Amino acid sequence: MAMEAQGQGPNFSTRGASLFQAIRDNSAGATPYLFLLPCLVILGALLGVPLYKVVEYSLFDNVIIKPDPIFVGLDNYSNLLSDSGFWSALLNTGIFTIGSVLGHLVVGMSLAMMVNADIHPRARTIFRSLLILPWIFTAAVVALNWQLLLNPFGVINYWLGAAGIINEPLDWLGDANLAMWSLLLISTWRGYPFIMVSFLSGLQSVPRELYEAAEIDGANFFHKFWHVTVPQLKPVIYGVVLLDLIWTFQLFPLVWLTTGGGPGRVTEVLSTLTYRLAFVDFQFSQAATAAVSILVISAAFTILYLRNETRNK
Amino acid sequence: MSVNGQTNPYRNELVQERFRRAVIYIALTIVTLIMVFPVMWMISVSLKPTTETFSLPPQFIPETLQFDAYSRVLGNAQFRGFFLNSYLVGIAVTLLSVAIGTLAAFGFSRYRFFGEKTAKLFVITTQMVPTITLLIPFFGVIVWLRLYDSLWGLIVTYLTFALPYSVIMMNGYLDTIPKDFDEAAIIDGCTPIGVLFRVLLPVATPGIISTAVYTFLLSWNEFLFALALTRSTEMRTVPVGIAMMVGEFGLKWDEMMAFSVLGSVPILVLFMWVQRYVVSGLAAGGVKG
Amino acid sequence: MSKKLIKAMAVAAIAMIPVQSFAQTKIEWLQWFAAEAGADTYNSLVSEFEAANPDIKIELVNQPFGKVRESIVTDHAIGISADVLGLNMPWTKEFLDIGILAPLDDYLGKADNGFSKDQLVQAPIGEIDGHTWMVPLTAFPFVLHTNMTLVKEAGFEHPPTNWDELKEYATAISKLGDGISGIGLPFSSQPPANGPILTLLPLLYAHGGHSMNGTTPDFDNPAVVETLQLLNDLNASGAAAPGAASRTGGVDVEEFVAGRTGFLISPAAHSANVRERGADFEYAMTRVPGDVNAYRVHGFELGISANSKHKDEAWKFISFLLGKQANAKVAHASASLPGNLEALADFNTDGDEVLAKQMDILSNDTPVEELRQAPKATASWSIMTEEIQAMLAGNQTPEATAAAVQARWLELIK
Repeated sequence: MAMEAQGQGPNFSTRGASLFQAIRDNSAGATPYLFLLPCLVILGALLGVPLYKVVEYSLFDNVIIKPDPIFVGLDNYSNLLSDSGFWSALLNTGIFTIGSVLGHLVVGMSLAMMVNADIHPRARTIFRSLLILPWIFTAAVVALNWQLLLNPFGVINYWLGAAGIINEPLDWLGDANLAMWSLLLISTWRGYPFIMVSFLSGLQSVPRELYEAAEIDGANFFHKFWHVTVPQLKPVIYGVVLLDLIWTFQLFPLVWLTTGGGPGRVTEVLSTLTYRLAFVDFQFSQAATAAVSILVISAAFTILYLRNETRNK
Repeated sequence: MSVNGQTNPYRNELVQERFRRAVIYIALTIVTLIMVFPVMWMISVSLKPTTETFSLPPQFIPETLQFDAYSRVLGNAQFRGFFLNSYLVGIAVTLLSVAIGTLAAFGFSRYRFFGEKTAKLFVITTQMVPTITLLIPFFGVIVWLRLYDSLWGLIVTYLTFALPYSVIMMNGYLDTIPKDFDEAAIIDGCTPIGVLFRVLLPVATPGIISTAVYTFLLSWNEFLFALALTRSTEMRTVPVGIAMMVGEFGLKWDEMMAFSVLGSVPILVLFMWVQRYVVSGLAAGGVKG
Repeated sequence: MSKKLIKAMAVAAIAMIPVQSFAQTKIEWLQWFAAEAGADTYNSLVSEFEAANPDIKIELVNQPFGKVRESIVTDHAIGISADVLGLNMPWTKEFLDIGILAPLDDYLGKADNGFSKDQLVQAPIGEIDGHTWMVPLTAFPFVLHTNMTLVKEAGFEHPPTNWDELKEYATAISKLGDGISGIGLPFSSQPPANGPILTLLPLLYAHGGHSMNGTTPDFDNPAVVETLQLLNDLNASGAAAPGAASRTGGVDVEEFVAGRTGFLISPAAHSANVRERGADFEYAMTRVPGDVNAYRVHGFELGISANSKHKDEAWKFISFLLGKQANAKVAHASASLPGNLEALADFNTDGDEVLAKQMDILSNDTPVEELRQAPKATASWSIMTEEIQAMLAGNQTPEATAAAVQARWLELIK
């Protein structure tokens, strides 16, 4: 795998065990905990109880809607797992998550490389700023705007028709065969700036000598990308991809406000299913169960991911 | 610009370089136009009467150019309050989250300690439950803390959403900085805090900026908790104000788009300003020692 | 237990609210009406009430319509419900099953109310589970909005009065030009996904049909199938605008106002949009075509939270709002008719034909509202939306659609 390929320059990354030694010797054993303390206290204090509650809800029936919920053990879980709607939502979530993250990565990284190029600083500022635009509008506006654009008589159909690419206007968000693709398009558009900005920042810490050394060896653009940029930015890519995966896995407002899971349930993902269970059906226990299942899947994935990250260090 | 052109005639290299730049400019212009088109459409909607937004064929350039929607938004004191609240909350969340997140990220990046992985997993786990299901119990906590219907309630809420991102992202950026830097500083007699502030942060400025941008926008765009945790009009934020324009019997398309566009202009200006610091930290910060 | 903890928190939170030095009771009014139109009217009514009742302070809590139902449930769960609630009839049974609403029977029977009970629009005050739960602030019928310019261009003189004419006119209008359609079928899943309420039910009621039997779903009856068949025909003949499965109610209204569809079935309140947007065509409002004069009735309703500590004060305010003068003002602000029909005397139509038509429908035709007694009403119309999408995509017949909705609805409330 390219990820494991050795960089051509000096390997800066982590071997320096003596370094840790040095830091550790220089400080009391409590130091790292002090650094972490404020963060853990805030997260623990504010999210500890709610997270516990959600797990508790999933073990009771009629929470929130009745004053005295009944303990039902794992019944909610067996209900959920025997519901075909859950499995199709899980599959849709998988498609949506992988598609979106790939879209974000490809578009975000390419644009980051382009706006990092050696061009006039003022032009660079303008391009960089314009390209983050998709990120700075609230989801409701993004969704409504795309509904206008993708309407059968909207401007996209009109232009595609005028260019002779389509004969009939397409119902991008209402056609069962197109809806998921349209959603991926919107999600990619909405999400790439995060990757672009993060990646752009990461690019600044790649020592220029590495590229120059690679150029002397006759490396072309893609070689440099795979053998210099990617290995150097591994920590950043790891972080960004992890966050983007978790984030997209439970992305709610954009999907709900654009297609509402439809037509039928072809774009129903776990987060919209969870919402539907909670606030359309008022089955809060079942919604909590779906939420815990999202938590379990994400956590299992993250553990694997973190293990892999450490191994690659 | 590379200077390895010993084997090629200098002129030839210059032409090549110019050509390369021209290609980049053209490509960037095309891609940017495509990516920005939906936003231009929003601006177009904000500048024309709604009947024209829905006319056929679709008019990108407004036939009847009008700034009514903008004057209605700007003339409304409530809306100005929404902007102010959103910016205040966003800035507070950004400062707190970057500061606290960077400290934790430094701990994760530069130390190996007992419980490290569990702590990291906990930080990430807090982001894995769909916020919609957290809403009711979280709401209970905020009411209990007496932070209900106040900007502090929103600040604390968004801090819990943004912190894990700050930690993970800053951890990634700090990991890209070679540990040689720390060693040099430690030999010079720096404390861990000194290493962080004097050596790593100057180099990690681009990372801090991208984390800050992320945090600010998270808070800027959030709607669900903004609506639930505030009640009085004085505490509402921009996304709530926008949602109010989607009524039971009608949608104020032009006003909604005008409101969004107006709100985003300061952000764009701010981003233009901070992105100047997204330059090679290695060059800018220099290597100490 | 979880619930107790939350309650304890809520009690603690309420205890923290500083007690005002003079005994003024603060009550909250959660609604979406002020965000909709005429915020000034609501503010001035509140001031007027406060001036007459110096011991009561009204706090307006504005919410976007799309979030009101959710907020009421969330507030109830935390124990911080507003005292006076703006309501929509279809939420009634759902809220009763959670225990959100307080019964209003005793209050309605009081002698010193600002209105008389039998002058109210009756649908919202009909008893469910043996009690009355809400009163009508405003009311309006669902109607057929017609673009007469298009109708005349297509060679007809009047708005359609029965289904055959509706089909014929709509088909003819669709042939007028590219992007012009007879009618829109707004069956998007995008929330609130209420296409069935907007289009299916008004047509069904005008056909003399029903979708429920008391509180039990009865969706697979012949009248429903015939109404579904009508939608299917409109779609298949090209009379309906393309893209029903992604068409939202909002877009449906705007395309009508922009002169792109001949007909729009929706609340009469939308006549205000036609006027405000400056629509460039001859507009007419009539009853929804069909065989009987029955209409789907809708409006802004008011109720009191079961958790409210100040129910008496809350009622005092509601009673004020339903009084003749106040009620007429609200109706004007919301482009609808007053919930207290007595206020019609103060409600000068000023030769406004559109309002006169609404009054005619409201006072002569039979109002129908079934969803208020439907358990899980919101989920039920999501189901209708999904099955109708499948029908319009050509994947199932109207009969199969009706049967599928009936089966899923029964499963839902099991």
